[in-house]
Amino acid sequence: MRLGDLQMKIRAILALVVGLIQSIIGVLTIGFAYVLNYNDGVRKFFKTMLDIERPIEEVLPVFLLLIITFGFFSIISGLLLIHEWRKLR
Amino acid sequence: MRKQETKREIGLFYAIMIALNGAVGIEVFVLLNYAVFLAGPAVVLSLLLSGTINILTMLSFCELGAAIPEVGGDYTYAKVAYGGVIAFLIGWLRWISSTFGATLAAIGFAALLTYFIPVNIPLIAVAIVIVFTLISVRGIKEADAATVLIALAILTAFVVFGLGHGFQPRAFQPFTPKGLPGIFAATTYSFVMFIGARATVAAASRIKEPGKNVPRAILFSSLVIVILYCLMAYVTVGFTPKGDLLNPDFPFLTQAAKVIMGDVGGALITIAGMFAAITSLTTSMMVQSSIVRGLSRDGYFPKFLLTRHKRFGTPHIAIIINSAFLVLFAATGVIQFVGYVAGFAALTGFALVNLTLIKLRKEKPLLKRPFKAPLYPFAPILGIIMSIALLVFVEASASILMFEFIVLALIVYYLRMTGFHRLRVAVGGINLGLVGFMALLLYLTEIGLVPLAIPSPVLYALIFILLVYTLAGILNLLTKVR
Repeated sequence: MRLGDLQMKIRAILALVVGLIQSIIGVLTIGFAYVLNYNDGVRKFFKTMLDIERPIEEVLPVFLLLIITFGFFSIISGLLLIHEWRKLR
Repeated sequence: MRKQETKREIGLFYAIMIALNGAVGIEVFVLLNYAVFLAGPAVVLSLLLSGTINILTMLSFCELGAAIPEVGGDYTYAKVAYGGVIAFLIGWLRWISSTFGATLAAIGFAALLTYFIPVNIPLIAVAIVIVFTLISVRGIKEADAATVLIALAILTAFVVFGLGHGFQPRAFQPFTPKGLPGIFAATTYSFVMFIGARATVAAASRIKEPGKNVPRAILFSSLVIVILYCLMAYVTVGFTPKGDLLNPDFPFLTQAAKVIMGDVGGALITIAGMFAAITSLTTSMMVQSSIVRGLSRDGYFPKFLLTRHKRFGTPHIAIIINSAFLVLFAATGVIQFVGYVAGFAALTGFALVNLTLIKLRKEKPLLKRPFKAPLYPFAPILGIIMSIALLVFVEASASILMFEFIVLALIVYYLRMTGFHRLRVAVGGINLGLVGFMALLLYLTEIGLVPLAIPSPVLYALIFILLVYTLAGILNLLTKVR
């Protein structure tokens, strides 16, 4: 096998692994946003961790926006890498 | 792939049935309750305002539907007028509006079922979506005149018997307990009750003499619905005990029906609502898949969504993928939130349709217009202003979700327009930017400048995420695929 082919193969595998992990992180993040919106226990944990003084209901929409945006972005980025793997393999 | 049939076979009566089938939906059964809570007795004014904005925009729909009686409805008009991002955005909003319309129907069906038996609302909502996905894949009829007429008959009986009955003492005092903000919030919330008549333009390519029949069907059904719903709201408030107006979960409509017609009345209204839920669900699912296919045809979505089932001839892949979204949203089981999102999408879409009318009048004055919207340009301008003004009253979480959907729409659009390679580079840059920001935040937390109490497992997870995103950033930036 030529060095160039080997590099391409490693790159394709790396793109697949990183893409899959990133997509899973994205899905889990959106799932977390869903749980955060509906589960009081998770909300309390989140409030304590971030040391938020204001009532969580007031700041929750902004956090949900950030978390869901991050989740969607991760899924898109991950899918682009998986697409690269499909083209390179 | 089969060629789309465009034979004009639908007459005026069936066109009106399609319009009423879209208009007499689940919305009034599930949204009226919370609208009464928001505005109190002034909900009648809210519905009148909603109906007026709706009719102003329906005039634009009539002109556009008669002039461009093609597949795709509002998306096609925007494509003729603007092309590009505006057309895509209208198509996208229409898709969101029908997705949330279908979700509302599924959740509404489950909520109404609780009148007879206690059920888990999200579970039943998801189950009903799955059942109707299977039915849609096999193929369904567009509008069932009998169902529409039965639902209309029950609602008319409710109004007629209600008006002949004695109302609660001082039921309409105070008329505006929550002032103008309450009235406007209820107007925004109830807006989706009135938008269903636009379903006619989706079928315009198959309606005989569309220049006459499309405007007649839309305007007739819109007027019927505005009058009927305002009277329903009036009767509902008239039979609500004063204290109950403060309870957001009170079933105002069924309670009023019970007072007027006894237990049979409550059951009849609930059954009418369940029928309406099923017609709303099937109509919205059809519109949803038609929009997705339109966007796929123009290259915004993958072409495989155009594939039709070999045996049933239905766009099964588009239906199944759309249903996956429905299941996701139906699982929330939250009517208010879904109602607001559908309202937001509809209001934004309506503003854009009015803009389309203005643009076409200016730039294509010679376009053959069998119907011309009266009061031009005041009606479309007023439609735009009122639609946008009402967006202020949408619940914050619904506005945020819609903002995200619009950002996602722009990403999808520019993915097509700017080319794949530049998008990959941009995504790579954002990945590395995120890594830099998170690394800085963790560093500041470690030295005590940012007071975050991050537990060790979360810290290790964040470091792992940083590594993954660094690699993702580099791989996206150095992409070989163009």
